Amino acid sequence: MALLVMVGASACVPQAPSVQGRAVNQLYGIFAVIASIIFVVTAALIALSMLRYRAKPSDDALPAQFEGNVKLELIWFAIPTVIVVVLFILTLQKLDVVTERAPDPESIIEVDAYQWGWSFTYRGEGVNISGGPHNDPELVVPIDRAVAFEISAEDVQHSFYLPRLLIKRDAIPGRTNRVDVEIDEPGRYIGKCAEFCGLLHAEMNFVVRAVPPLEYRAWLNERKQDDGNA
Amino acid sequence: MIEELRLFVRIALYAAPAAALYWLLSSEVSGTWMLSALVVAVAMWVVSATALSRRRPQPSSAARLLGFEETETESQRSSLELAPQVLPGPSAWPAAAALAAFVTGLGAVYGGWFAIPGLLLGVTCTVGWLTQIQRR
Amino acid sequence: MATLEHSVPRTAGGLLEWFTSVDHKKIGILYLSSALVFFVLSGILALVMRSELAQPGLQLVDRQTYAQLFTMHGTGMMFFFGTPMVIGLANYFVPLHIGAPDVAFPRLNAFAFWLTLAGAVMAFAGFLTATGAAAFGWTAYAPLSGDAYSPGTGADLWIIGVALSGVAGVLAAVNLLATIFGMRAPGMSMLRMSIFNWNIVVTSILIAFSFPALTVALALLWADRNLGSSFFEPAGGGDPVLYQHLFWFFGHPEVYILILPFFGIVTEIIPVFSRKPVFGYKGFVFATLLIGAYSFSVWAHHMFTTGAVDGPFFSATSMLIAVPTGIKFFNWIGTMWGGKIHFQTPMLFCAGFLFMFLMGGITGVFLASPPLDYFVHDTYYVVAHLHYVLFGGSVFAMFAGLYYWIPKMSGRMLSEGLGKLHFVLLLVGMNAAFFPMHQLGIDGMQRRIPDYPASFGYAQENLVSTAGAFLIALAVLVFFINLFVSLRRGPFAGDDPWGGYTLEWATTSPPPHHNFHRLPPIRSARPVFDERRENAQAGPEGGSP
Repeated sequence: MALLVMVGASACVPQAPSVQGRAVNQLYGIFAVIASIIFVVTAALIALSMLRYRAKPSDDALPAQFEGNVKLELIWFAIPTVIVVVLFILTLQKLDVVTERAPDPESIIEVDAYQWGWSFTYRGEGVNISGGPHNDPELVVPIDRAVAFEISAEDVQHSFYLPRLLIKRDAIPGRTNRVDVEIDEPGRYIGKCAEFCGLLHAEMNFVVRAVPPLEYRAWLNERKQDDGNA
Repeated sequence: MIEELRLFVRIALYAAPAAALYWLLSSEVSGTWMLSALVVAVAMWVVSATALSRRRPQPSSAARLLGFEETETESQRSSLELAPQVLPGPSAWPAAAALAAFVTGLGAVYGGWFAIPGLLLGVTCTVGWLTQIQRR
Repeated sequence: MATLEHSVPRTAGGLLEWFTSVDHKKIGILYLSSALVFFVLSGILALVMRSELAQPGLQLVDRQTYAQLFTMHGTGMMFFFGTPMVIGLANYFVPLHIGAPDVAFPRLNAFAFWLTLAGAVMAFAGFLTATGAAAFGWTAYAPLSGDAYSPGTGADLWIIGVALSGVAGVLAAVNLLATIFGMRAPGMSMLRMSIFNWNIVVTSILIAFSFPALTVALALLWADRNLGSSFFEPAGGGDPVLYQHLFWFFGHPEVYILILPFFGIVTEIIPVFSRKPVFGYKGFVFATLLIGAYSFSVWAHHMFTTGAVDGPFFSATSMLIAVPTGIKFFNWIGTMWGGKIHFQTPMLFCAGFLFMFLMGGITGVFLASPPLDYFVHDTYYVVAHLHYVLFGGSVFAMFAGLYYWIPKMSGRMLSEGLGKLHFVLLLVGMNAAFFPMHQLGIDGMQRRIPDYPASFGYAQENLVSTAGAFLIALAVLVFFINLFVSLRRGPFAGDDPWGGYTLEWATTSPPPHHNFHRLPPIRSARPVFDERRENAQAGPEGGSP
């Protein structure tokens, strides 16, 4: 059951359509495999000791009263330490991938979260998209190009969350967090607010539409004209 | 005891004008509140302690006031067969003191008016509680 | 000092006795009862939430009410159920375990209890105000918890209520430390204390040093709301992240405050029911101290997504904490290994604890890795993790402890049949309720939402989870039926129904006002066991297993 559970869990994380997301996918997979092994071994030991040493009826004699074994304890001090160190090194490697900043992102999008909605400003392009509940803003990004999100908030704390891309970063008033994403599959990806921010927290969604670079440029120019005429 | 009293009186004497001066100079609310709260707390301590020392002129140690002495159960340390021990009897003061904290706390929510009965009850409880310890 | 004829103080009698008692056993029972009341209250809030989430759309409550529900569910479980339950069990059993007649400061003990209750009543009184109870989550992140975004007295009542019970927690912790360090019976050296007591030592230290950080955070928050200061208001130069640092510097040790004593309970019960001593006593002590030490250096793993903390450092410390926890697991297995395990209800709950906590502990390592935390933070994955730890861990061990110790407290045994029914229902219910939440989190369902569109595909898991929640409620109902029936009609327990090891089994059930008429000689961590064995060797008629 245990193995099924953990492997199932790892299989249930859909492959992310982005470079950074796939690093998380890989890390999650490794963690899930190691965790499954630990879970199965430990649970099996617990179950084995319980089944093997359950008391038989009318057997009142005391079992051997041993109080420990320092060698064994040192071993099971060492094993988890080694596992944890391995997991930590893997974490550090993937952390670099996930937090790396592209030197020259295709676009920098300023994300401003507020109660309750999002405002996305394409820096240097004069394009702004914003909206709230029942009017989810839809921003467009190019595929195969790094896009930087600079995330902040106006009032209370929110969190910029793209479930399918496996990323999230808090939007905190007075601070700016930057996340770089390189999506490589066209599609519409739903974004949400992950930090409780008041009444309409659940409805604070947005959409990221990833399109080929040429289409992106065309869209950007069109929006620029629209905004200019407006 | 007298020495501690003097110390606390000095703190109150310093903090009270400091609070007034701070308010006059800065008109800033939080600092004034905090300094005033310090004055009130110290004053409560002084009132309780004075009331006690009047009842019992012999100066007693702070440890006695806090009830440390009750933990000295020498009989228990010296023998495995336990001698009867001195344990405090029932007391209504702890529950009443919690009520005082509750009412004072309401003052922090609904405005200072609640704090006045709360603080009065608090002083009563402090005096009552400490007197009960001393009487034993 | 007073004379010895006062050795058995007069009691007030009746209801007044409960208000005025300074007996650690009575206060312990008061703590436990009040904790169980808030367990039920907060549980009912959770049931309403689960009913709302069973299907897409808002059916039962509006958004504002839902926010109050999850806020008060978390607050109630953490501050008014979990911590008081820990302190209540410690209150009752620490003096008994060390052979003391009472705690070091009996009146302070009573004050701490009534103050906890006052705080709990104040926070929950928010439901009676016009604008309702606090609605910013049990973490009360600023600036959402500031006066601009959370007006209304419910929030202020929450702040003051939690602060009062926090102060009470510190008083209780100091009292327990003084008791353990100053009032051990002759022969009861630190390394002969029960593992439960060792866990209480570390827990009390955690309380004494972490709760003040919470008090500070709440005081500053109160000042922001009521005095116009701006510690956490960016507009006035404050920093919302500061609040999170203060809160989690309390909040993470709090998690260990809520689990270490229950580790202790499990470590008491498993050896007794395996008829063996604890495997690796010093290993347990070492692991407990290590967890206590680490728990103060991991707080910012709750804040990876703020981008304002040093990810690698807090990741490393958070993962390292798995090592001492692992030692405990293997030592529990070592304790059972080669024993003769009797699966009465307390041991069954320990078995449930071992599997459920293992699950929660392992998902915790996932959350300690920043890249994975960026993915699942603030989703139902975290909700699943924390309920496996605090429900599958703490609550299972709590029930183990209650089934183990209520005979000592009441003098009557609880029903084994109902106990086993309770266990099965709780185990099934808890897995049905919380396991699907892992998948919901992975699929992107964020925490603290009253509703989700049908198109997101969360409906099935949520329905299962809701069914599980009601199964948990049924299990808890069975427990209370068991409690009420057995307290009146249960068979008498006698001094030592389980063949216990520690000193509480050397006195009557319930113990007399002074706890002990005589103490067995204390030459190991199992004085009652030693004496029983000596008696058995001295004469065959005195032998018992």
